[in-house]
Amino acid sequence: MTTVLDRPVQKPRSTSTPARRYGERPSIAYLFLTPWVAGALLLTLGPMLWLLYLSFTEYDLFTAPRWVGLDNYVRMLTVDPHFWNAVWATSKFVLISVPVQLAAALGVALLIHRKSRAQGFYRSAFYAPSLLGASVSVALVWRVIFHDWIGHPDRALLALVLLAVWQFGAPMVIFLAGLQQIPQEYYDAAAVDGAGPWRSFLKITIPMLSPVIFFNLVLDTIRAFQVFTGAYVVSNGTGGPSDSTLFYTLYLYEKGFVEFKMGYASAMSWFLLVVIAVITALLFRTAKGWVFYSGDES
Amino acid sequence: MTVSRRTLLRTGLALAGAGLTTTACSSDGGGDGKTTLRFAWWGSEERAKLTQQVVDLFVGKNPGVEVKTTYAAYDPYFQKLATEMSGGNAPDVLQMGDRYLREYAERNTLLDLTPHLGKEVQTADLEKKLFPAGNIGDKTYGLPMGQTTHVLQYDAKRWEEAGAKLPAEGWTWDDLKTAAAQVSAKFGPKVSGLSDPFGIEDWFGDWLRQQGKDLYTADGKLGYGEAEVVAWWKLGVQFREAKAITPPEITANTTLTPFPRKESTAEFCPDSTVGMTSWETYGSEFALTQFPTAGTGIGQFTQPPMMLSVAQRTKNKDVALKFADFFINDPEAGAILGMARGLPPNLKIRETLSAKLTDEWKMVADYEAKVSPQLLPAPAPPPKGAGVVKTQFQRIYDDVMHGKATPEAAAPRLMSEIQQALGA
Repeated sequence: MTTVLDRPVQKPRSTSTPARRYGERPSIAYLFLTPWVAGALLLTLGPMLWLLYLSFTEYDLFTAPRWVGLDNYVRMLTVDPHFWNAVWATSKFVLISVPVQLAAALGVALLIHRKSRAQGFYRSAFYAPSLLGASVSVALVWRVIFHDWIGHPDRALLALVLLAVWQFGAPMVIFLAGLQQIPQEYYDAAAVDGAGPWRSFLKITIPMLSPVIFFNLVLDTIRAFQVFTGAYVVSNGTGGPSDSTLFYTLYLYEKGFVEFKMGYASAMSWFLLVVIAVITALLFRTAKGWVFYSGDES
Repeated sequence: MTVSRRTLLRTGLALAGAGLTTTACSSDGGGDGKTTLRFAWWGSEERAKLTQQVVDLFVGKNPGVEVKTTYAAYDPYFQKLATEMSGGNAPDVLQMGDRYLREYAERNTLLDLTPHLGKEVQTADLEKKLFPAGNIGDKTYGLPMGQTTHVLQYDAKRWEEAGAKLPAEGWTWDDLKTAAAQVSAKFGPKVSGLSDPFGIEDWFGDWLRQQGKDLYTADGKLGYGEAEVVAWWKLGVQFREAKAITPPEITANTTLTPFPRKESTAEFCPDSTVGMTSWETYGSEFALTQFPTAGTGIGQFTQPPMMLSVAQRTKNKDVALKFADFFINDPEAGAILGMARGLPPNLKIRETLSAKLTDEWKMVADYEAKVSPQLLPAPAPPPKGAGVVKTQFQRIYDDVMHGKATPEAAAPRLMSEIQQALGA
């Protein structure tokens, strides 16, 4: 939808703003950046590279790391059955919990999207579980509520999926913001053309919201791969019954801090990083087909 | 959604700042001429109160010394200890568990106490059977803080109501199966006769010792083979078919074990935990008995539920040893602690105490006195990796329990896990 303008719009002349004055002296900007840069180097990038080195060693925290080459990776991928159990449990969790959680978040966002005085209350009320989400206390409550499920290999994972879905607050708030960006005129025009609510949802809401859906999908997938607390508490740190809730991070933690196999744990964490990077890249690749930015010519 | 540049900067700075502050370390140097001793241990709130009283008593008697205590539950305690130890930041005096003693001692983090025994730390009144748990070769790395043995706690009232034969000297696993099945038949399906014991390596150990074998040999090698595992789990299948044990979903529930939840009427446990879990639920309506036998004897040993160790790199060795001696041998300290860590390891203190015990602690002390002549001495510390073996034992039994694998199929898997855990 483009309007044809009969004359070019004049750009407002820029006045000298503080931002512009900084622009003349970039060194100040860098000065302000140093805390972040220092933090990134010391607390993120440095440890990551150290971890990469450790993943090629045998390291028990006490004695100096011993170089073993690809040993950890080979053992991980070929002889350790629990590694694949962990991959399997985590994949199942990601595949089920992410779509269901996003659907729940969008559904509730649509429900409370209508302007009303209670909107603020509902928004907070639905967001609250996410704030409590990563906490141990909620997982403890969950353990009590799903008392009959967590002992059963087929249902224990489901209890954890529900725990994740219940924490749909963060994507919901983002969906709400996205919904509020969609101009009302589109809906009015569609209504004039005789479109029902379902049709305008499919033809207007979903395409207009697609960047936000994509954003949530990527973030949620990354989050789901790294899930830990709930599984740790519910299974008492075992990942049981029968490895059904042995999430990747849980097994990694066990290798590192229970068995003192830090080299192996480092290899596992790098493997996870690569897997998440590949999956994120794939998501971006598919995005071209279904994510629609309103600035696009289409 | 526009965010002003200024807010963005401010948030960025705040975040970066928060990140940086976490790297600042606090030093706890006692700059006022005081010796500061750090003492770390695991246990319950109840134990914490009594432990703190003993610490206060020690500080009162030793001017110029302050003691900082930290405690946590078992798992977090050892996770934190691993990082502290490896960072060269170990507590001076610490509680040590049998599964970790070798891990830490062989990594040169614990002080060899042998030269100090009988000098700074008196041992004349301590129960000798407990010492092997803290010894590696001829060196002592841990001192017993208490005494415990395994026990079967059972709901005598319900057993009688179900007409089951009560445990007696020399009873067998078959007797247990029959009795438990009778109780299940009477009170089922919500209540089972016995909490499924077949996934727990400790009870497997008792069963092995009844037949002259063991979990580990004295020199830290595996003391059993695939055949024993198959036999034990087959016994489990028999118990399951007789409906004598708790169903999988009850067994695998981690909130509390089934017996204190009244979902089973009998359960194996270490006797040092009886008072904490069952007394509140049952009062005096339950009883304690020794293990049923599968051969000769009950196969039970006595062991310290935890030991006291001193860090090898402590800067306050003298005070640390003094504290260790006080904790174990001082009559006043012993009177305060009571049965909080099982029976006192000091026999003189034990004698004084036993006259004053009531309720659950009297029950445990009476049981200990009764089985004591039959108990084997504490085993040597298990090899590195023994903790993993225990975990895998439970994990693989899960499949047998849920009927996903037969004992014959599951046992070889366990053996290969064991090889990985101990061989590395």
